[in-house]
Amino acid sequence: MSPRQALATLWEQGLSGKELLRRHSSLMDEFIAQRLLESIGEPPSGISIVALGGYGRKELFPFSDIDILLLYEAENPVLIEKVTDAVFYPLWDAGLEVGHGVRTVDACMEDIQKDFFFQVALLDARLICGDQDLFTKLLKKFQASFDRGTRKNFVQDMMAHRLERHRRFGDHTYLLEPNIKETRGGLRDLQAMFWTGKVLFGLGTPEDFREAGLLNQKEYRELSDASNDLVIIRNRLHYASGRKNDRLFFEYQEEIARKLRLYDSRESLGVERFMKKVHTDLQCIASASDLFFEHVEDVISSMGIKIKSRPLAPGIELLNKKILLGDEGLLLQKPYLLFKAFAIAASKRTPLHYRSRKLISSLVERLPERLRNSKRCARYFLETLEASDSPMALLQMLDTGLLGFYLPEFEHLKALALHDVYHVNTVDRHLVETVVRLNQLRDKYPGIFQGIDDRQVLFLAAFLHDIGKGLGGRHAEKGAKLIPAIARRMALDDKQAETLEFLVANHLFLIDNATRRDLEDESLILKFARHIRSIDRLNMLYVITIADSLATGPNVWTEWKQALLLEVYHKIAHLLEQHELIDPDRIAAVEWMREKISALLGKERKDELDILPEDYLLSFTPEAVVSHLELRKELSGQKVLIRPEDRRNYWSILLMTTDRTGLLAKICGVFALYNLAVLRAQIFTLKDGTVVDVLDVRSDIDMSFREVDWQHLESDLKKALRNKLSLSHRLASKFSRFSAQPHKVSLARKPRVVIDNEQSDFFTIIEIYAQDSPCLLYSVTRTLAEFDINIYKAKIGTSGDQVVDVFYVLDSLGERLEESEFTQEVKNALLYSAKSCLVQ
Amino acid sequence: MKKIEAIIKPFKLDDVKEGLNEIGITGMTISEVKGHGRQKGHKEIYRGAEYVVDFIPKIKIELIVNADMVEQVVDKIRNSANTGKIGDGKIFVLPVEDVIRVRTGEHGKDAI
Repeated sequence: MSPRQALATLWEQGLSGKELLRRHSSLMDEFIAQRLLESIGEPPSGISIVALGGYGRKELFPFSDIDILLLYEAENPVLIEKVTDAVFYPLWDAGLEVGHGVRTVDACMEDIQKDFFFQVALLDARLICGDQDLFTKLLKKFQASFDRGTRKNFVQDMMAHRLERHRRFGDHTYLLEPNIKETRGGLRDLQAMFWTGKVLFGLGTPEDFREAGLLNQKEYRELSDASNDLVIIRNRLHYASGRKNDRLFFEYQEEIARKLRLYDSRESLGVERFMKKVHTDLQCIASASDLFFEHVEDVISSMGIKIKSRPLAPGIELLNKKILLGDEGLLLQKPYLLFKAFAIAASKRTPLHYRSRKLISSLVERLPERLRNSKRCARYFLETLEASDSPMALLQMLDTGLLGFYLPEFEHLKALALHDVYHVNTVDRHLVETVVRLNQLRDKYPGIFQGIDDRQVLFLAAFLHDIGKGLGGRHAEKGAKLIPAIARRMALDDKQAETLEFLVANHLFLIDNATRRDLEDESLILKFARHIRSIDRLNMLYVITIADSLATGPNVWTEWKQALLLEVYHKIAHLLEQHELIDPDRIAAVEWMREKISALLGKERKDELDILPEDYLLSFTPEAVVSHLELRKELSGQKVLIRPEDRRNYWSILLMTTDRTGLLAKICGVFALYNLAVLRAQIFTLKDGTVVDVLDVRSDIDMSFREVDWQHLESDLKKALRNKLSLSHRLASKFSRFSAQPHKVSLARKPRVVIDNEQSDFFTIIEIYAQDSPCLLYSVTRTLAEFDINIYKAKIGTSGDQVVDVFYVLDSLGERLEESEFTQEVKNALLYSAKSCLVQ
Repeated sequence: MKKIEAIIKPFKLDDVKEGLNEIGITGMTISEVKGHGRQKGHKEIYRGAEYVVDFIPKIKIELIVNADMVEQVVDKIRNSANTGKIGDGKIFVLPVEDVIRVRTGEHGKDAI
């Protein structure tokens, strides 16, 4: 049976984990010995077949290379060729990847000088068959090759290769598709520990480490569990991929999760629980190997020299650029020192010494719960967040378990990976990264940071924004529910707690609405503004949104998203600055109107409420609004409705029609024709295009209300709207008759026109200040119509003989007037029309 | 076979997708694109900091359909993406010579 077939049988027997590796190695040993026996009989003396590397350790993974050294004593080319043929050909024929070398003992000793990997492979050398004495000779010479100098070199090479490997395969343990062997925290890290232990201390197994006190019982157990898990997973991965693949690609994750009986539940996906296990294991090995290599560094750098420490604060000192804490007794007596140490670590960008980290890990379970309510600890923790422009301090806090102790709500996020292609980090790491990114944004958006009153709440919100992940359902809402308890423990005041809860609940508000809603809808933006309530909170949401995106992955924060976010931010900010819009009285008034109108309309006509703009609602009584809605039904096509009313001092005319360019000009023209002077006007366009105008007028020639022929006026207006009446001609001939009468030109102030795009993000606002005259309104509105400019809202007012006209306009494409050349042209034309009225 | 490319406003994506789902089309390619055209970008000044955005964010939808479906698909996209304002976008219809499914090697209609 070939080794491949044998392996398949093992799999079928349900063998996995380290047992499978051992059996696989033994099978391979037997296969090689058998082939040798078949072709040349018992191996002659002076020749040894040696297994190296993983095969040497009896850890032969399904598709791993078979590393074999053929060791010989004397030159005997014929014999050696026979042996190599007998050993290697069958392996090649079986389709296995074979690493092979044919060397004498001396050649081996030469090669270890030149080839670090060969040197490492020899550490695991094991005799498969052949000359035992020759093999023993090799081992003795190999051991003798290490002296103080070569040991140090070996360890330094090992550490350099470790760093290089992390750089190439991922230097953190939270990768979406980790390489089980090579990533930081992978099996290679574990081996590197034991190789180094073997060379430096003569300790080559986890058991040796435990007995020598390099690992305590808890660490030993966790490390063994982690490595067993990864071995099982790597076996499965080779099996699933059908080749030597160590990267846990997305496509294999679900399959392996199922094989390990991790199924989907209501709260979480099986694959998410599986990856959580993988990341936890990788992190466990990474922490252990970090601690170990820091210890090794200490040992080799302090060979002979004693380094002095420098005190930083009582109980906290600096040793060899690391923060070292006092002993266990002191820390249990003053546990706040743990938090203080991390605050210092963050602000000085200095990591904690590995001995202190080990100490904290062992202490965490014995810390008193009341620490979570300590104001002092809260203060240090908030300082840590605000000072973290690198993830180091927070990650160490996470790694030692202190963070999970302090915020029990955080515990379930540890190593939790969301099964999507979007997040490159697990949730815990993502939250740390968000805080780091937020700190880095300070320089980029100084103005916005200045506009934020409470940075502590900001940073806490950034850190807690995804605290509701993994709880099933909508994570922002779930997370917000956890906030009051956290805020109470951290002794935040009511306002802080409320803001924190708001920020966590709404951390997706801006980006969701920016990408999914129509940002040109003013009433929608107003809704957003009222939801957010203050510039302060808007600023916080804005920078949290950016930090969150940046921390999610390299391709999440794009210029494209930024453009939309910027737009929604500015529009909301702008509305928030117009305080009257967010005035609670105004909001209450609008609400009151809606309720009243809705009661008058009845349920089935509730939809009609949606077409009413706020300004309009605030200008009429509920009854008036309802009567407008009734009249609206009578409108169709070119129709126009006029409802004049005598108010003694003036007449109020309600006019309804459908919107079109030049409408106001026609209305004003017809009114001028009937000697009606417009005192005030309120012009509204409902969202369905219905125009509701209320014009307060008086007669220029002292006619009484009853003397005016309203019917005739209405029919002339209809004619004008159908373009059957030349208003300019009629008006010119009418007013030329009065031209003898001197107008008050002498007192006239120069007219003024302001075109403004700053006040509103949705309209250009044109203000015209001019001396009153009968056809002024007609003249300026006609000019606007000439430019195809549409008037959506207008306020006309007179004080004395001065007229102030304010128009909210957009061009024919629905855009604001932004080209300076064009606005200048409009301005000149309006000035001319205002002036030309006066001399008529 | 035809390729239909539509450039639409971002907030209309859900409507368009829904509309296409109604007529049985679920597979499409969606990308975030930057429009430079008649509609101008904007410059914002806030608290002393100036931001210039010189493009308009748009969504591009690409899909391949049989020639007899083109009219229906185009209508659907038009109706769902229409706001009546400037910047509602454009729809392009292009001829397609062949479609091959990478995994199976199927050609033409079967590969859509």
